[in-house]
Amino acid sequence: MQQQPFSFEAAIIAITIVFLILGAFIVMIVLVYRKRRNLHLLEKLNLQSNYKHELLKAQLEIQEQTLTNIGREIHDNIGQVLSFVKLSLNPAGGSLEQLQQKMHDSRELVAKAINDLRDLSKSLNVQYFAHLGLLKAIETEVERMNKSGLLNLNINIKGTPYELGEQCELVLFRIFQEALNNSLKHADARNFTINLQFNTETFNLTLADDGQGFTVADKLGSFNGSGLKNIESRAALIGAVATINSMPGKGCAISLQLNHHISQTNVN
Amino acid sequence: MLTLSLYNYAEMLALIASIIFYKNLFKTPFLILIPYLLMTVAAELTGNYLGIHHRYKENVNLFNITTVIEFVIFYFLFYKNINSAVLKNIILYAMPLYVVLAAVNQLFIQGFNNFHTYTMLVGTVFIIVFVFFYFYEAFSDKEPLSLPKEPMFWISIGLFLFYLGDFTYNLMQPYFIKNHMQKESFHLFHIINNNLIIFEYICFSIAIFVCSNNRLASKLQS
Repeated sequence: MQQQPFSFEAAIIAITIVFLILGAFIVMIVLVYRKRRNLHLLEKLNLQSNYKHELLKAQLEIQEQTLTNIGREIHDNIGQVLSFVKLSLNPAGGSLEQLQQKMHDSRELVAKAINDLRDLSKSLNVQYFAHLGLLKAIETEVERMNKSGLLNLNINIKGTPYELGEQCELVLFRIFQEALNNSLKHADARNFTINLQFNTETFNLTLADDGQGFTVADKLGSFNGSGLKNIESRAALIGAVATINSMPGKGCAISLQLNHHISQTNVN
Repeated sequence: MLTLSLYNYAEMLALIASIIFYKNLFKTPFLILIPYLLMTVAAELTGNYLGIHHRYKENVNLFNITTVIEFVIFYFLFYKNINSAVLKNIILYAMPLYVVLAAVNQLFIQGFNNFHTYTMLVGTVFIIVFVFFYFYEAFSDKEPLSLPKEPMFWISIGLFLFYLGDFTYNLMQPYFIKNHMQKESFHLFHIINNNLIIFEYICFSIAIFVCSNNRLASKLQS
């Protein structure tokens, strides 16, 4: 019988070795790719967890702010009304007609206090913001502030309002609260203007006051500027771009531009 | 007197590892590795004995049975470790199909007294395809997954490289038998094959070790 030439067998062995090298190469690719994918996934998970953390923080801050507002409201408004009612109900002297008038006034004041308390109790509900939505929440805040007389708030709405997603709106509302707080506490402002622009592709929110203003670079570089930095980082969290313009004596304007589609992707 | 090769020791090492860590293999599909390794070691030792005594026909009969069982066990492991319903179904149908093909081949085509090289080749192709299924899932898993901590990953690479190396040999074996292979080539094929068996069983031992490590980690976590 004739033996197979060695060259043919050597070729088969060479093919076997090539197969093995190829196999080892495939295993290496799978390992390296999986490692990279793991890094990417971990990064993504980290981002998601940061996002959730920031959202939770914003939610807690909103609740905290709400409680502060309620405390102030109870003290300044309902407390005053009820004190006035107490005084009115003082039985000392007066004709029957005067007493009837006093009773009538007191009833109206108590009714107002009940209404105010009902409004306040609504805002204590955790789901209150989600139920209201950004626009209504800002309008409620504008109404409340204007009633308090601490600051004169103006709201301008352009375009047909649309929803931006609960998480996105929550962050925007917190930014609005932060800006309003800054104007109240530090800027010594009298007027605060809110512009909401609902375009097809983008949503713009501008918050401007006529307070004492500041140098943006100085403020952002200092420890006191953490509120402004928060505004910037939170805006970035939902894919918005925050621009802060201010000069000493010229007030402050915070503009937020949000691509509606990008914000939805970020939230997802 | 039996003369054992290095690969026999590698198989025994895997068997000893599976017996030592048998508790950790419970409630996992890898428990099947214990009877599989017992069968392999027993078959190899018996085959060795039969070879020494020139009882080649019985030797072929023995391996005609054990290799079919081996393939079915590997398919079962892939079936249990792959998540996609479609791929699972393919493997599920491949198991009885392979047994039927092997039976038909051994009964009517190559015969029970000849080694079933045709169905060995089919079984090898199935294994390589299933390894690709596993790699595909490992590629596309959306959760972070550390492959070296997955027992099936080690089993897959052991099988993948072993059967890739064995593929051409299985493919050409009938031809080589007919045309008498050169001694040097036969020797070279044996070296490659034996080393691949050693690699395969070291991978199996690592898989068993990883399985017990995972179990320990989950125990510590709870």
